[in-house]
Amino acid sequence: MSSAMQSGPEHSALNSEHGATTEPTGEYDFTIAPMIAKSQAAFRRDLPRLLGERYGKWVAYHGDERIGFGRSQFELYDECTRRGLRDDEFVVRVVAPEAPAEIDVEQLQDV
Amino acid sequence: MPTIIRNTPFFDGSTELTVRGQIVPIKPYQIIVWVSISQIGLRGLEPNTPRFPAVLDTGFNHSFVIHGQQLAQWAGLQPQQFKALDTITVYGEQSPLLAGNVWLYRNVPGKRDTFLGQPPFCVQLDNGFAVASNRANAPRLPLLGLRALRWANLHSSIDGKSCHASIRTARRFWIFG
Repeated sequence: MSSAMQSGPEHSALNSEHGATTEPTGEYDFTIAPMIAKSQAAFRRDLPRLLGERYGKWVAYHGDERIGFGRSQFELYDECTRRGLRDDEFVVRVVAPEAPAEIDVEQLQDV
Repeated sequence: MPTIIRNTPFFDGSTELTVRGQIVPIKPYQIIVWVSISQIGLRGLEPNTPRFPAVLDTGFNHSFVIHGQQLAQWAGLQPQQFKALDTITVYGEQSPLLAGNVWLYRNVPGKRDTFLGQPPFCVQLDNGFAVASNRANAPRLPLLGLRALRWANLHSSIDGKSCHASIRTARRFWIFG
C-alpha cells in the first residue's frame, strides 16, 4: 500500500512552509483565524523543548498562553471552553514531531 | 469494550461496496474501515451521521485525508463547517487542515461492511484532517494514516494468513500468566 512523503529535515516542526497563515488557501479560500495562527506559532516555538519534557501529551494554546497539558484532546477542549474561549481562539495539539507539510501525489497514485 | 475493528476481512481480489448509492471499487489488499467525521469537541455522534469507507494505510504518514467531493457527498459536510487550523500542500494543491476528528465504526466480527449497534470510537486527531482540492489528483478513497492511530494509542494488527485486520484500544491492565 502506498504512502505519502516521509518525514525529514525539510519538513521539520519549525519549517516555515508549515507555519500557520492568515492567507486564503487554494480552492476553498480559507482564512485561518488570527488567534489560531498565533496559537500554532506559540506551539511551534515551544515544541523543541516540549519534545524533551512532555512527549506524547496533549497541549492547548490560546495565543502565546499555554493553557495546559492533558491526556486527551477532549480534556483540553473542555478546559478551553470552560474558560470561555471560542473555538477559533485556541488549538489543541499533541507534543510530537509534526507531520510533513506536504502530502505527495506521486506516491499515492496507486491508492 | 477495547476492540473497535475485529477481524475485518481484506481480499486477494477486487471487491466493491456501496456508499450513498454509489458503487465504489476496492482494490486487492486494501483494508477498509468505515468512518464519520465531526468537528472537535463532540463526545458523540447523532445516530444518522453518514459513514463512509476509508483505507487504513499504515504507510500514510498523516492522520486523515479526504477528497473535497467525498466530504460533501459521503459525509454530507462542507469544508467551511470546520475551522481551519493550518495549511498543507495536498497533491500539489494548497489546502486547509481542518479541526475535526474521525470516528471508527465497530464491525460485526469477520464482516467488513456490517456494523454492531454500538457507538463509534472517536480518533482524536492532532492538527485535524486534510481536504484534497477537487482540482488535485487525489486518491480514490479517504486515507486513515498511522499518525492517527499513533496519537489515539490504538493497537492494530494484520493477519496475513486469514486476511483479517483488527484495531483495538490499548489495554489498561496486563494479565500475567
